[in-house]
Amino acid sequence: MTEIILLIGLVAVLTMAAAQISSMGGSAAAGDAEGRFSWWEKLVYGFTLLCVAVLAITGIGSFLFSSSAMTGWTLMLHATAAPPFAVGIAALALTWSNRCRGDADGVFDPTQRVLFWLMVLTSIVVILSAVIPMTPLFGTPGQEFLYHTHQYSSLTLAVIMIIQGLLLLRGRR
Amino acid sequence: MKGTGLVLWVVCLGMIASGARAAEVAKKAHGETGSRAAFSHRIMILDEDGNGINLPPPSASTKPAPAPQMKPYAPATTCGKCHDYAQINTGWHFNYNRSDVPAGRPGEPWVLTDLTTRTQLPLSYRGWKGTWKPADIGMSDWQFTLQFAAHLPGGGASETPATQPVDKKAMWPLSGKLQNDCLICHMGDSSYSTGDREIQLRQQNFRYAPARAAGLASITGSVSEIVSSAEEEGEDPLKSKRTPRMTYDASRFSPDNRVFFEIRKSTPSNCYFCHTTTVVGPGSSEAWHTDQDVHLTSGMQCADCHRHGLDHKIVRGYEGEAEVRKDPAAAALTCRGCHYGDEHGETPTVALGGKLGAPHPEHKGLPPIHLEKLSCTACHSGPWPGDKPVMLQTSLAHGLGLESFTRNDKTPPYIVGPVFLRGEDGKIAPHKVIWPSFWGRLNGQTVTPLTPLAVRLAVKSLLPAMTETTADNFAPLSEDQISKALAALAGQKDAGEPVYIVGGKMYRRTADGKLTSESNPAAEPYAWPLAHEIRPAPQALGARGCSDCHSTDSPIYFGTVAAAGPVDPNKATVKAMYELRGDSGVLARTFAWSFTFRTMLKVISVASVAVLLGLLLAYIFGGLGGYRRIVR
Repeated sequence: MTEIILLIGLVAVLTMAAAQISSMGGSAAAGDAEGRFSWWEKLVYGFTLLCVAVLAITGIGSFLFSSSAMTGWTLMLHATAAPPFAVGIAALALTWSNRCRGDADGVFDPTQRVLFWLMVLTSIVVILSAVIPMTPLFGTPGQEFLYHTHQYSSLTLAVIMIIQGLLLLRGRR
Repeated sequence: MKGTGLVLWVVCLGMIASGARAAEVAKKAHGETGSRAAFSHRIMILDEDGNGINLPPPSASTKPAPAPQMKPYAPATTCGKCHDYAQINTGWHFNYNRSDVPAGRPGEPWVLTDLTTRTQLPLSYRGWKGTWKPADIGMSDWQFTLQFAAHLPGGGASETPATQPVDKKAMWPLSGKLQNDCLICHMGDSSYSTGDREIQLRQQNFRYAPARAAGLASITGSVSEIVSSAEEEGEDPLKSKRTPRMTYDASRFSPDNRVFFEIRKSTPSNCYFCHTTTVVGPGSSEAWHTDQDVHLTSGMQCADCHRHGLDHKIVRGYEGEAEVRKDPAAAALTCRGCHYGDEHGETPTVALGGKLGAPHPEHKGLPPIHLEKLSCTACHSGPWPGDKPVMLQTSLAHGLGLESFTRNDKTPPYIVGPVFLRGEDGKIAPHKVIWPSFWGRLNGQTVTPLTPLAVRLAVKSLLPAMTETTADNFAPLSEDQISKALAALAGQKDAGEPVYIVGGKMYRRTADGKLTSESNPAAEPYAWPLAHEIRPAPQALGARGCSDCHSTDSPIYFGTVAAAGPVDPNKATVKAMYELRGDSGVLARTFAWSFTFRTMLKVISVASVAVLLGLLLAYIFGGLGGYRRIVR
């Protein structure tokens, strides 16, 4: 039951965050002096959220609702959304990193900054734990370890992004 | 008085105990060495009545008297003197005709082949789906034995025939029953001749074949000749007093009338007589170009994995067999059981794996889901998969192991492999496949095969007689031939519309003489698992990378399988491997196509990780620098 609630909450928050972002003001390609998001930053964030949503639905959804591992069309959709997610999260990190410095002024409070860096760190684990099994480096025990690592790091990343989205929405009220 | 009574009680109890022990010892037919050392079988051989076979002493006369007629040695009594013959006969090789034995996992069928009628019909007493029981086509146990005796070990229907009503042409009283000949599997040297055995069996000398095969005697005359002569003279063959004449080789007998047999656990050479598979036709190569199973080349023997107790219920080695047999020990003798260990094993030696030094598979780079979806044999067994499965010949179907001057690549029946299908456990595994080809009678949707003899009698010269020396003796029949033959069969009084099954289709004749084809369950191919020859890890699927299976032209998905048989290749049913498994072609093609982007996915992901990591490190070191400035 809690897993279902988690899934519904994840989708709902992402949807609300996307809706909130679309209502934000912005002046130019780069953020202005008051730290509001530019159209580019909104685009990157929205694109990344979309990829995360697809990955979460296919990944966590398979885990929750299927008795077997992810295969077939679900797996292909998951693998198709993975490279755009990787690009998006890298772009997001590049666009937000300056705002999330410890001494930076701007739109993010300390909690959001910590969450940002946790998101960066977790994303590294998520991506590596998905790509390394595609290489002939690890045998079955290593493959299973990486699979579980990918599972839990993905879940962690999803939770971080949910909280981050909620804080972002709260900050805009 | 009391003391005396007590003593009496002790004495009585002691007598009872020793009597019981004596009775227990008396029950045993023989003592046991309890040693792994081979027992030297220098033994007296017995006839089927249990009497010892003693050669007459050499004659001192200058005119030696003719050797007396002696009875043939019988394995049942000779070997059975020390080894429980009845229990041995409960084994898989001998229990096939028993109705109280579960059918078990589908295995290789017997194939009734007839060149003239283009018949290749899979038969099995076990009733596996896709096979026919001999009785279903009117074949008696006698006829079955005559047809397949060369590769029958004896026992089963050949020893306990049960055909009802009794086949009037069965000559069991003359020929004798074909006993389970233990020496086929357990003769450790090369003195046992399966060729000599086959000659005797062909002559219906069932009672005499074991002695001849073991090289103990020469046989003069044959039951088949006796029967033919009697029938020509209008006599009842069963009343004939003539018998084949047997002359024992005195050099095989010691002065005390004992014979030495080199008895051993079955060696691969013993097993190969019935269990050889070769690749023929396109894709084949000379024998010295091919490799034996990696287990054999590593020094193992078939019986190291395919073990059994006295009951001869040989472990087949497939996953789940332990549950079927209700014997946990069998789990240790599967691929996983030996190489990985059985986590539910009751003893450490079973749980740990590495049995007989089996290496622990690393499977580097292989996502674990493959181990759930595929059997071990999918990647490791049989010929390396090509665009099409190759033609195979087997001992049981093609008489391999017996000398032949006429066998060639086109000798029927036509069996192909590897064909990747889902087994009973849902895992993809390689199989051997045969498409039945036969004439039959259709009632509703059920087709009952006709025997080749019945067809030949009905169609007469419409189907020219074919022999093993006739060129293209299994070539497809023309539509005209099929139509005329069906018309001839329609004139028979038997109930049911005559049909011809070939190439995965059923052919029927319309009122105006045209042929129509349609599908029917009887035309579906029969498949059985292919488990050998096993290739080592560097030659397994996936050794060259994921593209061995995940590519747009991979055999395991997109290999084409055409129904093999006496059928026009343009009319044969052709399916892709994924179709035969019932999988979606769109999914298969899309999934294969998506792998072309795999490298790009890895590059993008690694580049992204580099950016993220670089960013992280940059801000960490920047942060550390700021901290140092604060501290100063």
